[in-house]
Amino acid sequence: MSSAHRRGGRRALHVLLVAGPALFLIVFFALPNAYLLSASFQVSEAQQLTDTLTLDNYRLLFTRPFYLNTILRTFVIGGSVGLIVVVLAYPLAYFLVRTSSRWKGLLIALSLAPLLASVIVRTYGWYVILSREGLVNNLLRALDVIGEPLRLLPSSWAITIGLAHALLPYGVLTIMSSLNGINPSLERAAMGLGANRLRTFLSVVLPLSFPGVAGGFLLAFSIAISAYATPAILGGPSTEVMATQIRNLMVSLLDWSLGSAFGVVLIVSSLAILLATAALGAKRSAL
Amino acid sequence: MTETALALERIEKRYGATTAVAGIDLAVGAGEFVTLLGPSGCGKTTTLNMIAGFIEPNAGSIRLDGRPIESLPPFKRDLGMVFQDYALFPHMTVAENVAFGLRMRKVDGADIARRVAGALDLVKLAGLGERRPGQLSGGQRQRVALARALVIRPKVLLLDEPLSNLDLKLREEMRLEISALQRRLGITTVFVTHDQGEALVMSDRIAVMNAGRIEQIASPRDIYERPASRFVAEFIGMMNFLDATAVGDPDAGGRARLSFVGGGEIVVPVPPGTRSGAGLAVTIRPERARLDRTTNTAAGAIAIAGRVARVVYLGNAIEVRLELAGGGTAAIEIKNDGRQTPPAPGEDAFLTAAPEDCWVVPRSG
Repeated sequence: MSSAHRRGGRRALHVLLVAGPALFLIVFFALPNAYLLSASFQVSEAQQLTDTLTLDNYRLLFTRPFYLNTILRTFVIGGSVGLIVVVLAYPLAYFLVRTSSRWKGLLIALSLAPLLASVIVRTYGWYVILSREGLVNNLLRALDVIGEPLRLLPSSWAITIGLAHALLPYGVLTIMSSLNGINPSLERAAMGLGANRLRTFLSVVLPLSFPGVAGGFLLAFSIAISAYATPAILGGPSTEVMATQIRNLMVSLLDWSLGSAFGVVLIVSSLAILLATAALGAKRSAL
Repeated sequence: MTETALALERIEKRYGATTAVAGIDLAVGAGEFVTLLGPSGCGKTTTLNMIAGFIEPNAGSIRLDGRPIESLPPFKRDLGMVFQDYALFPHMTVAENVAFGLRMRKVDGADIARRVAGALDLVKLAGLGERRPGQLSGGQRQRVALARALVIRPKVLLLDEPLSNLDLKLREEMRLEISALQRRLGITTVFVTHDQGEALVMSDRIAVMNAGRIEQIASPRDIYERPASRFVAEFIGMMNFLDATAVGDPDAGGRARLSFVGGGEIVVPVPPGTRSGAGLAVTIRPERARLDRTTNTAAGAIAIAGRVARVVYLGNAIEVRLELAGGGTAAIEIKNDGRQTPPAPGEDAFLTAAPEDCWVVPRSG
């Protein structure tokens, strides 16, 4: 009797423990997303949502070149950021994992240090470097390479550089963790069997660390396509991305339905990529 | 001995102030199975890694068929290595693992398939080529690692404690199997282990290592029955040590009269260079020592008085621990053949041994 009682008490505790986070998720995640989804199918009139349902918002997004370009630009920037992050992070991660330096811990901390500064601060750093009177222009002019300052801002590639810099530590972390999982004697085994360093890397290390590379790419990609601050600072009206466009639509134009549709596209594309990765991962591990 | 396949000359490896390998010489004959045996930290694995090329020696040279290889990278040395953790490539099938070395050597496709099948056959894994290493048992992985090392027809096979991750029964099976395979292929082999049982069963010669040096290199029988030092005698099997002092210089046959610290005398061969008054240790294996109730032993034999402290039942034998009257303890193994009555603790008894069952080593070192 008392043990049944205790079991009942424990179950109540479990329910309570789960109820808190569940409630939090429902109120702050599920409901807003449901609201976003429903708003994207409603007609906006006089800056108010009406009860009339429509697909026009999506039609507009995928037919009007301005919006379509915004979506494409976002993905191109996201893809480039992912690629740059992975390419730059890999050698660094490899070095950090394999080094036997006694400064190893410090070196790892240093490589992750950019995470300590806020994105805004780092992005303004790039602004200072790339602006009309910035470091790059002043240097090039001092060296007489150029007469007139280059117009480096606003531009898509400035956004790409800024985001890649901000997201590099994520790439280092994911690639490091997958390199750490590779038994060092595998490399010895490959070399013992006649593979030189390059072939050892290409046939053993790279394939085995691929999950980390893919993870780093996708992490950088999905953060980059939803980033707001960096595109807002380093970009301009001609380089809108989805996040900045959503803000324009919702805050400046008060077109809640079109903004919502944009939001849904952003969320669904992130989700699709995530699911595709998970499916790919499941297939690989099943082999 | 046949011609030398692999020769280490004054190989040395230091890490800062610590010396891992302190200038060792080792010549391995073609087709010979040599074991580096020693406790962890004795330098045996470092030595193997220097042969393989994964560690660069600070001094000395390594010759393979007379050619110096110490400056070659591992991928140009033509050696086959089996790692303690097997180091199979988890993203490749068994067949791809075995084919790896052949692909690196640019052997053509049909030849690769044929040789891979042959190698898998050799280690009794025919038909498992399409499996992944993760789907194999420990013993099977071990065989794949062996096939992968052998398929490239290496000049020397290097085995780094390949049996230590297997359970006892499988380990004993694989000992004999690897030995048989090695002899059939006639492949020169260097084997690293801390397991004296493996070393005794598998080797043509054993190099016992201690603190970066080779203490003794000899056949398993000589290592066990005629250890060169106290360390070797202690490291291999159980051993009783009875401290003694040389009374007079050795005769022309290398034999000297020794007087035991606890009383009694014996005439036995002594280590070369022994002088009168030198401190020595007479070693007797527990299975060579006998337990007697009286001192009525054959002429020349020793009889050391003691009291039975403990009787341990081992199954095939009974071990009697004797507290010696002159100090120290000794172990005597009585065969459990049903013809001898084991003594009871507290009984007085003598450890007796014939001179031919005794072997003398320097007292220290």
